[in-house]
Amino acid sequence: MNHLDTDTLVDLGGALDWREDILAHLWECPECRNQIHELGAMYRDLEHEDPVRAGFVDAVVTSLPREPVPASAGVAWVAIKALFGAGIGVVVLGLAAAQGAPLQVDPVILGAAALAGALGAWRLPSSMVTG
Amino acid sequence: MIGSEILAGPDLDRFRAGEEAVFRRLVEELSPRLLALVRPFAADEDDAHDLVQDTWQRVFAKRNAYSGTGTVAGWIVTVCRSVCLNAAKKRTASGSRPAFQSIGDEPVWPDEAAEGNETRRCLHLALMDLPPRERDVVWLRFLRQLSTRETAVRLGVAEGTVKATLHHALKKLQIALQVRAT
Repeated sequence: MNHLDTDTLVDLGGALDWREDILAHLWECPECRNQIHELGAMYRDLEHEDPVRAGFVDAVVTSLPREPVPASAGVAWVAIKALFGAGIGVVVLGLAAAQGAPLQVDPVILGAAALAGALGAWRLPSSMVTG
Repeated sequence: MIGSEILAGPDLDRFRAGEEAVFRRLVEELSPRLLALVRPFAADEDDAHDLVQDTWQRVFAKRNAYSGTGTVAGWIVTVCRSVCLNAAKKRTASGSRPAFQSIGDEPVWPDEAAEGNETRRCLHLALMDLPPRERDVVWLRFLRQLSTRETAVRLGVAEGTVKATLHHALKKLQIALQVRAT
């Protein structure tokens, strides 16, 4: 008699969990044995994988679009803060000019005040702008 | 854990954020199987790789559509199937390829159907055509070799549901093979 080799015994033992009732049924039931053969063949076919070419994974990953860096949100914040600062600068200049009469503000000075306010606000924490 | 199973929590967030490391692992793990799946739709080796690459492009673009309720592999196979069918329609419309030979409801190139691994091709086509839940169960039980209990836990269903779903899915796959044989 040709006994089964160790690997086969281990495979069978693991698969059947040593349930003798199953073994006994299989011994008597050609339909279930046939099902086992068919499912085994199906499993082997489904399990099939084709190796991809060398460098394929890198090529795919490289081709994926890069997500925009959230820096765009930061740029928006800088713009908001600059506008906020410019507004403050104009208000401050207006108040200062109102102290003396008559009110005459040179447009160059007004622009410079707005610019100074914007530059100052650029460095402000966002919480100071939003409250 | 990043893998072909269900993505949830931080892993799902990283997937949806398009994190390169997550996609690299998925591409490494699933591309060989996708390559086998697209064979029936591909004219040659270059074409097959192009279809897989197109699939990953689509997966990346549509990643927010993955709900996280089924396996990510099952969802990617659905995307792959869509990419393959669209490519097949375009080729048929342009007349750049020979007409499809129908096996079941799916098109197969006549020259490829003549090859020796036709059974495998037909099985892969049938697998792609299974409903997502059945495909998930086949994937986890057959291809990931999880137990019925583990599969049930992953999918959040009862063990009996897994058994019944697997039974239905395997029957469909067997019928697909029988259709091919006749």
